[in-house]
This record gives sequence, C-alpha cells and structure tokens, in this order.
Amino acid sequence: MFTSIKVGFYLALKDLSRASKLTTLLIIFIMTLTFLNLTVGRGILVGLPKGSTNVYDERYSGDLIISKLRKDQFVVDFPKIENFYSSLEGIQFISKRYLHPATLTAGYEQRLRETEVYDATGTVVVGIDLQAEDKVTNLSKHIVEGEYLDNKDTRGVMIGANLLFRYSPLDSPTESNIKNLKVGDKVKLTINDKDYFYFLRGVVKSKVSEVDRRVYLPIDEYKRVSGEKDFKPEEISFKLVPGFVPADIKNKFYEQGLHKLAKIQTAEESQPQFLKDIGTTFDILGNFLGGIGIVVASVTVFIVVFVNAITRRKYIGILKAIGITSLAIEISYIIQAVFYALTGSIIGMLILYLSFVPYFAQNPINFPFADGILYAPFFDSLSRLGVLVFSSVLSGFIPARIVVNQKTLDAILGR
Amino acid sequence: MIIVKNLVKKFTNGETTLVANNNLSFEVETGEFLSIIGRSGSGKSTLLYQLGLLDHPTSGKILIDNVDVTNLYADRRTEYRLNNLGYVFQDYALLPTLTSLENVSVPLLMRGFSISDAYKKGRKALDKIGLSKKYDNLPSMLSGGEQQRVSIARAIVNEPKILFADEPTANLDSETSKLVLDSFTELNQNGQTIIMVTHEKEYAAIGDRTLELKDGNIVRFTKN
Repeated sequence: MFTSIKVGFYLALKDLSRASKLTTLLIIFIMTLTFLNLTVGRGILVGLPKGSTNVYDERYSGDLIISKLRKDQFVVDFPKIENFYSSLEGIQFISKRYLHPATLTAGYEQRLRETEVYDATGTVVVGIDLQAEDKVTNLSKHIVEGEYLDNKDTRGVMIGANLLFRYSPLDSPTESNIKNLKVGDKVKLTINDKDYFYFLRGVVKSKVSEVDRRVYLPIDEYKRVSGEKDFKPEEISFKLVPGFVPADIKNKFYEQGLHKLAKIQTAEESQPQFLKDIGTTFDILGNFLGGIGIVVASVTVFIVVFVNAITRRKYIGILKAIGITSLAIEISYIIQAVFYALTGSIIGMLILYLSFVPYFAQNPINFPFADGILYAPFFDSLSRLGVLVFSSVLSGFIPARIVVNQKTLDAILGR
Repeated sequence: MIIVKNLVKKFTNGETTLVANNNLSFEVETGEFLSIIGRSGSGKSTLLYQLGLLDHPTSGKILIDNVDVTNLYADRRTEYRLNNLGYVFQDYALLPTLTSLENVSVPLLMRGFSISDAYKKGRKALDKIGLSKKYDNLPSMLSGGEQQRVSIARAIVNEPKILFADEPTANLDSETSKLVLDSFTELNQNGQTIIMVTHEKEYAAIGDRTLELKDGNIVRFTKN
C-alpha cells in the first residue's frame, strides 16, 4: 500500500513536471474558472439580500433597535429604559426618533383650479438629533441632492428620496409621489391638520424604505410642531462598541423585564420578513447553482482525467506489465486531478479575495433596494475548495479505474 | 524451469473461433535461451504473452519453478511479473514522460527501493548495456536502438527469473539489432533465462533451442 502510494506520487510528479505547459495552464485555467463559478455566481446572488440587510443595519436599525410595542403609540415608560441603557456598557452611539404622520405638499401655490389635486403624498415626519442620527446610521453620507440638515435649522426640511416621483415612480389610483420638487423649493408639511412651511434642504437615498419615505426635522422643530404632550420616542437605534454582541446587550434588557415596555430587537431580528425570505430563497438558489457548479467541476475533472488516461492507455498497460500495481497508477491520476483542482482553486481564491471581493465592496451592484456585494466568507469559500478537491478525487479516480481495469494486453496492443 | 502443458488459446469473434495456440506442451530449462519463430499469425506472440502472464490461456497449464501461474488473480499476476519476469517489447514500450534512468528505476521503486537506491541500481543497469551517457534523456531524445536497450535495462534491472522479448529487433537496423542481440547473448551467458520471439531465423539461431510454430501448432523444436 505504502509503496503503491509512493510510486503513485512519483509517477504523478514526473507526469506533471513534464506535461505540456500549455495544456497544464489550460486545465488550471478551467479549474480556476470552475472555482470562481462556484463562489462568485452564488456570492453575487446571496450578496444581494446580504447587501440589503447590511444596508438595513448600517442605515436604519443600527446594531440594536428599540421600538414601540404594537399596542402602544410610543415607547412607554421611556425614562426607565433610558436610565437602564445610559449605564449600560458597550453602547457607542444612540439615536432617538420621534414619529408623527404627516402630509407633504409641493407646489401648493401653483394650483390653477379648485379641482386640481395637490402634488402631495402621505408620509411620516421624524424628529431627530441630526448629529446623533448621523453617528448611528451615517445618514449624511446618503444625501443625493442638496445638503444634510442642521440641528439649528428651523426653516429647513430633509426628505427621503422615495417620496419623489423621479426616484420612486409611484402613481397608483390611491397614492402617488411628488412630481415637481427640487432642493430650495418651499414645501408644506401638514401635521394634525396644521400647515407648516419649510424649504427643502436635501434629499436622502439610503435604499431602506423606512428611511427613504420619511420627512426629517431637527428635534427642536419637531417638538414645536408635533403638538405632542407626552413626548416619547418611537424608535431608539443603538450602535455598539466593536466587539460587543447585539444579542448579549438585548439579553440585558430582557433580564430587566424591559421587553414588556418596548420591542427590543437585534438588527437581524428587526429586518422585514420579506428581506429574510429573499435571503433564504437566494441562499437556496445559490446552493442550487453551487451544486450545478460542483457537477460541472466534477465532469470537467472527469473529462480531463479520462482523456488523459485514454490517450495514455497503452502506457498504463505497460506500467501494469512491468509490475506497477493498479493502485499506484490510480493514485498517480488522482494526484494529478487534485493538483489541477487545488492549484486552480488557490488561484481562484487569490483572484476572489484580492480582486473580486474588494472590487465589489468598492463598487457595489446598484439594486433598487440594496447595494449588491459579493458575499464570500473565507471559510465558506474554503469549504467549496474542499468540495471541489474531493469531487476531483472521485472524478480522477473513476476514469483512472475504468482504464486501469482494462486487460493489460489489450491496453498495450490498443485493442 | 518452465513447464507448458496442453496449452490452448482460442479467440472467438461472433461465430468464428481462431485457435492461436493448439495444445502446446514443452519445457524450458532454467538458464536456457529459447527462440520462438514462425510466420505472422502463427501464434508466437500469443504464446509469449501467456508465458509472460500478460494473457490467460483458454485451457492448459503453465508452471514456473513448479508454481502454477496459469490462473493467478490480477494483483498476484502483477506482483509475480514485478518480481520474476522482465519484458522487452517490439516498440520498446518506454514511458514517454520518464527519462532513461527513471524508466529503468520504476520497477525498483515498486519493489520498495528508495529513490536513491533505485537510481543507483538503474544506473548500473544502463551502464551494463552501454547507455551511461543517456541517463537523463527522455525516450524522444534516443534512437530506436538506444530505446530498445533502455527497455532491456528496465527488463533486467529486477534480475528476473525469465526475460521475455517480443520481436526486439523488428524496428531496428541490422547493426543495432546485432547490438541488442549481443546484449541478450551476454545476459544468457550469465545465466539469464530468455524467451525471444522473432521471425528472423538468423536471429533465432543465437538461442539454445528454437521452437517453430505454424498455425498455432509446434512444427519443429530444434537445438541450435
């Protein structure tokens, strides 16, 4: 057994070192493409919902989000919750959001007829500390028109891009987005049947629907216009100190029984169900495509080894004739197959992590609801490399076995 | 000593049956040089392949040193060939990706020699047949005669009980053929049992005895 392995290695090494360089490069190139097919195709597919959840965490929920219970209008007994998290270790930044339904109207002064419908849309006005919000969600980085609102600006407003027809062409019988509004225009914000007038300072486009369908006011201005007596937030987003686990922090809230006062969720838990469903579906699709990739890879290796073995059938016969065991010959072919698969995969890994992943991180694929990234965790790719190598062992062994099992004399004489 | 008893080899193709070896019985002494001659299709190569355990007879027996090797299992046949038999083929049958030295050393590696020991022995075998300057040449860099001599070196490197040669001079010019045959004569003089198939009566004459076949039957068994 050991001698057969040793001779198998010896023959494989000699074959590989003296094979045509062009053929070797071509086979390795094919294996590299096969590996990339296994990882990149699936990575982009899974990266789409993954990018979407990343966007959700980074631009809206933070690492942890506390929101009002379904039955309440706001987070009840907020001071109790605030007292608790103020003393909690691991919280880096906090943004409290105060929400109120509103209607945003543009071009209200230009109406020509009494029957003409206003260029308006229903929305939610959010009062925030703009600096605190920016620390949690980097909202200022997603301004696509105009500028980020200032906390002291009492005459300005910032809106989500999905309220504008040019970003989100919604025009259904019951709902439509604003068609004619640009930065600097005056808008009317109707809250509790009272009209307030602001200048549009900026438009934010984060690709998170919760963010992009809101109107933002500085907190002091919001307090002035909302008319709320019991001034309590509906959402509190937390950014944690790196290294702290959101689920651990959440558990601390639970230990104090605070989950009875508000919904306490990690970013992952707070994501809309459709995002989770898309993620699951794409993951299944990705695995399906990956499975096809493995089959294609196996067939590729099978063909390479089979053609190699068939064209060298006579020499396999000679090896057997001079006393080389079938096992040694099979091992030599398996080693060659593994060499091709391993080299191709390692080159594929280098291309993946030194080129593709950084490229897609810098230039995400622009989808309407996400920044599509190439999702390729290292150990996931490593396991695919393992699967590819394992399948190449099988795909190398089977054709070698077929040829080796032929009668020695028939192989030598080419019968 | 080789004992062949009632050896029959038939080839069947559909309804046609061809008897390549018809009830052959003979003996070959240890250290003997036996030449097998005959026309094309006489069954001489078929006989050699069976004696060399590369093919199975349809019936009959082959005993080598009183061991019945007729129906050994595939793995045992391979092992037996490695330890006891050597082959020289008409077309040299060298492995194209191995140098002369590597071609000669492979059977030694299979017998458990280390690479350095195998190469040491391989060099000696190549020196013996006058190829000391061609250790690192691939078969494609050697002439026909040189390739055949590498093939001989590979066949004898394991010091086999029997050396089989199937028309070893068929692809060589007369001068090179003589060199190859001289190698066989020298080996035989040192006690090597050789069974050689040839269609040249002149070459067959260098053996101790000649077995002549015609249509699968022994027509003559003469002492040279």
